[in-house]
Amino acid sequence: MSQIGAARFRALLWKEIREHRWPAAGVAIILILLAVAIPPLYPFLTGMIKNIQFEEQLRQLPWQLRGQLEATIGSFEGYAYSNWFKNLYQLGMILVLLIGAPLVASELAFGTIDFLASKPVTHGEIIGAKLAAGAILIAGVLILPDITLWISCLAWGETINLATILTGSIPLYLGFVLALEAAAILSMTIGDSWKAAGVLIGISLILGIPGWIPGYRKFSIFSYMDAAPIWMQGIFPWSAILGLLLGILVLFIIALRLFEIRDF
Amino acid sequence: MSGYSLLIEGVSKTYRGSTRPAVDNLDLEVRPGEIFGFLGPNGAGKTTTIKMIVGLLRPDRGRITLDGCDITKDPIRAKGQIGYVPDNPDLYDRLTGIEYLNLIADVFGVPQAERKRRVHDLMDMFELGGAITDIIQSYSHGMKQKLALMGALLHDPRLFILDEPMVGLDPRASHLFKELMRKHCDRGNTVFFSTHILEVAERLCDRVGIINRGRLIACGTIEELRSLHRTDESLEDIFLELTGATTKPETNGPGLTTDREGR
Repeated sequence: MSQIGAARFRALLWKEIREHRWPAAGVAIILILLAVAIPPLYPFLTGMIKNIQFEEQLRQLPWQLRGQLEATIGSFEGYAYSNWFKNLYQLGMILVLLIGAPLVASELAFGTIDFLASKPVTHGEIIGAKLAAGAILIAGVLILPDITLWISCLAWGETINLATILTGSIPLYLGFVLALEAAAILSMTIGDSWKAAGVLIGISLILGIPGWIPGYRKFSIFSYMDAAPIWMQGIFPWSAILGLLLGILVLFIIALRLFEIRDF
Repeated sequence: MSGYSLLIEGVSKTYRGSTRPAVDNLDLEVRPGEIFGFLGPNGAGKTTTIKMIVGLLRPDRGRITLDGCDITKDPIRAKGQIGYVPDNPDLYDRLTGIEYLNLIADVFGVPQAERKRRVHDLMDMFELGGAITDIIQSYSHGMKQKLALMGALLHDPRLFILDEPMVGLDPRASHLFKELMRKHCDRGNTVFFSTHILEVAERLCDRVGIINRGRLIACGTIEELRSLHRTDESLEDIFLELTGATTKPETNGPGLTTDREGR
């Protein structure tokens, strides 16, 4: 990219970040509050669980919930993983929807796409800046609460490695970027933010179904976003990361191609 | 260099799902330093033509060149010469006025010192100074129109393209804007605009083109159009006659009118 091209891209990137900063800030605040609350709630929750006769009821629970509760009781790491990443995952997906679904559809709906596409910028720069802005905001929303969790853990006398927390967020982050690209493609092809969000939720639910069937978890795309191998076993999931990166590349090429051939 | 600021050669465009071309084999030349008015009834193909000129739509056939630069082959260079204001100035509501102008200046690579001077001049001209730091969402339609015009002029474009520019402007801003168009052309730049206000076109334009059903049916100075039609009538009458609309009503008696067919 030439110097002028880079300046144009920076200008577009700045505009996109400005446009989407509020949903990102909202989700970041919720996650920061959660990060602050997780360590002090640990003794309270484990105390409550251990004090009641829980063994029998525990055996009757579905295996997913049983695993989560057993992990919670077992250790602070398990508790923190369970309560942090499940929430991070769900709130992150909401942020992806808030940023991704209107990414192109809102420009089409409000007519501002005429402004962008009539300027000396390539279609690739436009969609590239949109996706890059989304990826930067999502990264910020993950990193800030991750650091908050680490500080909060230290303050309550629990030791969790910051590198583990941040590394654990990598597969999750890549999964969010992949979902953001899917949302952008739907936003572009459907041209309506709500419908694009609805379709993405539908696709996500379908892709998530194998994760609820014992023995078929590996067929769920979300299993590749799981931080458990990093947190619980200290293993970096290279194959999952490479798979997600490949998916990101493929969806980026599709998004770019679809945007380049489009008339406004 | 083609010798023309804007050259449209055999351009056609048919929208998907439509059998009738929105623009049909259009040829048009707009010379440097002139104000060109593009007239036509609703649905004639004015906006489609403008969208093709500014690179929003791709022509099915034909070629559009701006100062010799093909809009489809080298869109970045061609678009860099254009200042475009669409018929409905849809701006980014969450940005402030100054942020919007800075975004445009960044995209067009206007240097800091020059942008500061131009923003200051344009703010004075359009009297938007007090509101420039407010978010665009709080602007009235007229203020948005002024901001869109400021944005389109910020990089001093060689070709200034406007789709119905007078809509939403108050009389004072409208007057200033007309003066500005003339000054812009006097510096060797070109203005191409569509309008429904025929009096404005008659008073302001060096030449006009009339489009109907996607085809250019007349092009020239007002005088040339008058002599072609052997009439001293106004542009409005020539326009109505050429576009096949009801001509100037002829009174047959109290309360009675006829059209050309005598109905």
